[in-house]
Amino acid sequence: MLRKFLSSCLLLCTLVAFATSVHAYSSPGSPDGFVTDITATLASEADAAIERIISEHNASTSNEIAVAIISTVGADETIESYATALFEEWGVGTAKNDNGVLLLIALDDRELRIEVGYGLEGALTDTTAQNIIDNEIIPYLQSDDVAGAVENGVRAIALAIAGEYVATPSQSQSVDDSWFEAVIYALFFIPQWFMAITARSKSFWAGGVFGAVAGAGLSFLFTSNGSLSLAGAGILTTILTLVGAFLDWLISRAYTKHMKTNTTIPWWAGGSTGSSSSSGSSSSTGSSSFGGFSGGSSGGGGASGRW
Amino acid sequence: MNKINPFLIGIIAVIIIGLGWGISTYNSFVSKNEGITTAWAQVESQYQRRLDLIPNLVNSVKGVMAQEKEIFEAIAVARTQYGGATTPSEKALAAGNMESALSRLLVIMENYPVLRSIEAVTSLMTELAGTENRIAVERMRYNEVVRDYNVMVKTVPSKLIANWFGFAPATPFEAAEGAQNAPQVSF
Repeated sequence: MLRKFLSSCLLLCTLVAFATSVHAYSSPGSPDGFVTDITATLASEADAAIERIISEHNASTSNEIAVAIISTVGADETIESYATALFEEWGVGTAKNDNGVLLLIALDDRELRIEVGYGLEGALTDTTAQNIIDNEIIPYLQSDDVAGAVENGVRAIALAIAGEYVATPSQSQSVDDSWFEAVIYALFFIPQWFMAITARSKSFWAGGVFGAVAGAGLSFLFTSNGSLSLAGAGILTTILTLVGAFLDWLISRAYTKHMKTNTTIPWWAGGSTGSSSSSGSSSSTGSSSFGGFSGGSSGGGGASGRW
Repeated sequence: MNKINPFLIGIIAVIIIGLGWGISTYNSFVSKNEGITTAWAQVESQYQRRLDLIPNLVNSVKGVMAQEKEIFEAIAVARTQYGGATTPSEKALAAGNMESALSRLLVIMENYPVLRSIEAVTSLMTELAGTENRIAVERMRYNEVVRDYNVMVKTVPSKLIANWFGFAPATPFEAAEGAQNAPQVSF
């Protein structure tokens, strides 16, 4: 019985593995800066110099230029499809303006591509991108000067897209703060309020109803944006119903006991113990290190070349 | 305090759960359908972009390729056909014809090395190559959205809601012969 179950699990795992391997795209991993070189071709000073050019450009324009140096795109991918997949994975550019550009160089394939985000297609047209590739990048690559090729290419790209957007400072900070508050509220106040109510009702079914409503609400939220399957939603709702009923039973019992023994009601059941909400450690690290790209997208615009 | 029947509560809970599930399923069908429409609009706007580029390209090469009347006619026919298409499937068909006429033109153009030195031609070819790539990308994304939606339409239990409210499966792009490798513009 158990063996049968395990073997079917194994089968399922293999199926899932196969399903994902249909996409031949193999990611170079998460970006370790604006410049990500998994071939270790760039010297660290050159890497840092290019990084500086891009971050200065990013600070004044909010444009994001990503550089990826890989060895090969693999047998089943073209430089174009790889660039689109990588752009999508990293999310180069801001989500609002889609103002990202990806310079992808596959050294062993001797191919490269400039993939342009939707929001920059007007400034960096396919023809401009082609000219940058042909005149600014390929001559350096032909003499095996990868650092020179990248630096020159990045400068030319930055020049082309400079006037398009203006950076608005501390935009992301306010978003982070509101998120933080919402999470604190959800984690702390709602359960406390819920417990205080259920503690006073001696029954246990009320918690079950609360659980069901919460489950239905959550399912509604998560299935409508596609992050939860319907079967998952059903299971979630059922579990929350049971958990709610169980919690209510526990709390009601504890509350009744406290009332009988005439001790103070604990804070979680609505007693007045001045539960100060600890204003959480605001985790602003202050360092200006690379924090990933900002969710921009592209639609296959740009140009490719080989040398 | 009058007792509330736990059985009744159970029924109410089940109704609430069922209703919540039904509504969320219905809504995700609607939003996925909307996603398909958006993805198709993206494909169409790239078709339009290609359509706008072609007359320019034809005009810039016509002088050099004066004797290749046949191919220019084929392109003109395909353009008219696309212009007259109204439904998505008609448009997809017309776009396919356009593609094959265009790739024939590109092959013929390789016999005229002189074109390579005309800047207007090379720049148009770059834009065309870019457009072909954009079409490939938007088609792929359209198919992804359609696949996602169709899985929901065809699997239990969401199939029940799809049947009730008449959400039919959507048709993905089928890879016509050589369609996945868009016309090679190595010029």
